[in-house]
Amino acid sequence: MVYPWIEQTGCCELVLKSLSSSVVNWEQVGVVRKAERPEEANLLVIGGWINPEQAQNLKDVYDRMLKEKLVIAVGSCALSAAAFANDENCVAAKDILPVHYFVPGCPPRWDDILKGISAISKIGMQNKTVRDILNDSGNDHVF
Amino acid sequence: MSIVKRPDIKSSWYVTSIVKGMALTFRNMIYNLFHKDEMPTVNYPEEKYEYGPRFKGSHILTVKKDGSIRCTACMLCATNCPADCISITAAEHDNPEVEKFPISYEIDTLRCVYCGFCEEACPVDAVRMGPEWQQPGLNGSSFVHDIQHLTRRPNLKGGYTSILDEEERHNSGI
Amino acid sequence: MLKCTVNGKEIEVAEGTMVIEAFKQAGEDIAHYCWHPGLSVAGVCRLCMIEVEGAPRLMIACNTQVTEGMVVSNNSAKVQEAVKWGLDFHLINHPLDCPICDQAGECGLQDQYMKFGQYDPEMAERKVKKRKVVDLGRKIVLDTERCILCSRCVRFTDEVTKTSELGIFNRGDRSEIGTHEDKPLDNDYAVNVVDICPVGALTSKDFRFKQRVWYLDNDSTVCNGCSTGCNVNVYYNEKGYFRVKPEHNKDINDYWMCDKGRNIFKHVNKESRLLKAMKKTEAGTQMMAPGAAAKDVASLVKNYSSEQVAFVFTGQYTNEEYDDAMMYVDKIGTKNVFHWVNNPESFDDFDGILLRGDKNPNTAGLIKALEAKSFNATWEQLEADLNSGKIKLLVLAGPELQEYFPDIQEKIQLFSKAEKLVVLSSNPNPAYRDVDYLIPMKTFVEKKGSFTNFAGTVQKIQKMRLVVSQALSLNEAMQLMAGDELQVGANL
Repeated sequence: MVYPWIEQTGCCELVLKSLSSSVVNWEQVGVVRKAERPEEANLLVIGGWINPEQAQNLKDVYDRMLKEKLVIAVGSCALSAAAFANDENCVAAKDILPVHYFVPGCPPRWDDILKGISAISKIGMQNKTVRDILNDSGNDHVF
Repeated sequence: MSIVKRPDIKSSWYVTSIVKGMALTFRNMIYNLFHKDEMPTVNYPEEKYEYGPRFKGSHILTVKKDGSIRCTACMLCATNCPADCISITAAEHDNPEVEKFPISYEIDTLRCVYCGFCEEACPVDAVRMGPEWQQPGLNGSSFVHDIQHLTRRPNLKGGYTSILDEEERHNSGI
Repeated sequence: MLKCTVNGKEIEVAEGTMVIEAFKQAGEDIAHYCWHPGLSVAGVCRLCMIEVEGAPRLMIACNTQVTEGMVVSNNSAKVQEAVKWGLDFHLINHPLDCPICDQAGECGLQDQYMKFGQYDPEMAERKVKKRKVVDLGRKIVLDTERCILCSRCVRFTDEVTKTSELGIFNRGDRSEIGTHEDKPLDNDYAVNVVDICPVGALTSKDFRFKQRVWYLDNDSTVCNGCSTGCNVNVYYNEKGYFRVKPEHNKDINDYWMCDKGRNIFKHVNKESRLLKAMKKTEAGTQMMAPGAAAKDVASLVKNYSSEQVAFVFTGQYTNEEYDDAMMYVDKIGTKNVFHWVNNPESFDDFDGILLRGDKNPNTAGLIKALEAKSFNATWEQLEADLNSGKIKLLVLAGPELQEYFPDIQEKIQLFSKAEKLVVLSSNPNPAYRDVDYLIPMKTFVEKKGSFTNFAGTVQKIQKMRLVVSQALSLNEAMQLMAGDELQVGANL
């Protein structure tokens, strides 16, 4: 059961926004409702490029979130700065926060993002560790 | 100075709008009840959205007819890659007609932007982007794919054969 | 001087100049394969076609001498057509190997095709298949299929090395270059044929498939393999140093270099380098930062009187380093400064082309620096002092190219007679196992400076990519050992 707080930029913003449309049934993947403030969120979804200013902002948001919290990074820019890796104005999410789930793609399919959220939401529901989920999931999403 | 025009009694009468809106909602609801297959909502984990077979997803390295890797390690894909996610190490092949082949070919999927430039740059149809999805995973799982994974992962069912064949090419005298 | 007009530009050239050289002088593009400025004229590729005013037919620029008032051009449609067809004939049997070929990126055929060709081939016949990957000794691989028979390599072995191993065999479209019965091409200058090959027919085994050439940067420097001081280009990228090619210098090495000089980048790469300073203690070997180790040595130097400290130099450092080093030796106040000559027997050898017996790039510079401070201690004196125990602390500025110092083991044993032995070296060596201090040094591609060659010519070397950032140059190490602090930005 997760209350996601979504930080989105660039092209991944479009994909993440399309998730909010009627096409997807959020309750099915364990999202109760989207958090209105970071203080009531326990899942941080980071999509799109992150510049240094935003990195600071993300750290603030992460600190304000609930005590037990998880992070999903969506899209190549957030994962590793991809094509902008040589540019100091783009930083990778894994360099600034502990990221629990990676969704590669540019932009990723919404299915993949939901796969991530559902995998993560099980942690919220059953108080399990990341490693437990990894074992439970039958290695469907892990190579 | 501007003159504020107060709304007249007619426009503050909003019940008609509510009725109109509710009518739309109920019309769609009743329509969806009787035409379930046209409903756009996907119940994600149970139902999956069907993508076209031409989707450009995970990378595939093709093989020759004899099953050896098609790639000649020319590094054009690595040169063309905007995200620097491909790293190749070339080596000398025993067969002088093959001459050069990759002993390691790694794609870092965390960096890859799935632009398809590698596929476009490849002169020998060695790297393709298949219809499979990108693979999300938990932190700690492997995102750097090696030759074994790129050519013979279970989903490929034995690997893709390249349309370009060395022997045919040699026989036709190119 | 003769006046002539090249593509509308009026220039003056020396008498006896070929038209192709006049084109180069005027800065005009001209297609060519077989002509090489360091070799004789063959005139076999027929690509350097020019139109001479007054002459009815096209001529080849490489074999036509400039005459007074000559008007030549190569930008007319007639010449372009001739070059285009010439190129098409060259490409008839040339395989489409570019993805595999090591020459791709610096290939003459690729360049000319992009400049003058860009057409679909009109040849309907099948390509003639020849032998691929022919092993020519331990340095070179030959691909006869890619060869366009420009005969540069054949002329090189005939004219420069005068060994005549290579030749053209068979006739017509079956003709191919090769050595008799595929005997190895193993003379001391063999790899030069790889450089002058305009296509990928001859490739160096050392560089083969290591990197694509477009990933490499290059900088010119001076070869530190011997006292000739050939000008070379070193090719490197962020993964390391990959190869060395000669650079033209009319007075020293012309267009060539020896094969031994092609190995000078190998000791530079990180896997063969000394990364941390080592200090031998009772508990074992202690790793430390190079600067800290040098400061440690400084406290040792203070413990001994200046008479008990000795320095041994090899001729592998730059002039600037020697000058500074001598200054700090003066500051320490010792007169015990020695010059380690690695091979006194073959010191004056010369093979007639480039290779010299003195395997240090800067022996002349060291001798000059020693003379300037009038340090004239002899090697016998060092041996006597070590045996009598007069020298307690010995600092060795060790060689960078250790393969040219075969007696390193014996010499280190001799030096170990001193109480404390400090070795400054860029690379580890089994002989250094028992020295008290081992301090990593920079190699010749990591510092600026100059080398003085055998004839007294001073040539600059360039700083390229740092491999071991902590390593010290000789003057920094000497400065620290003399008890001074390093200033930021003052290092070479």
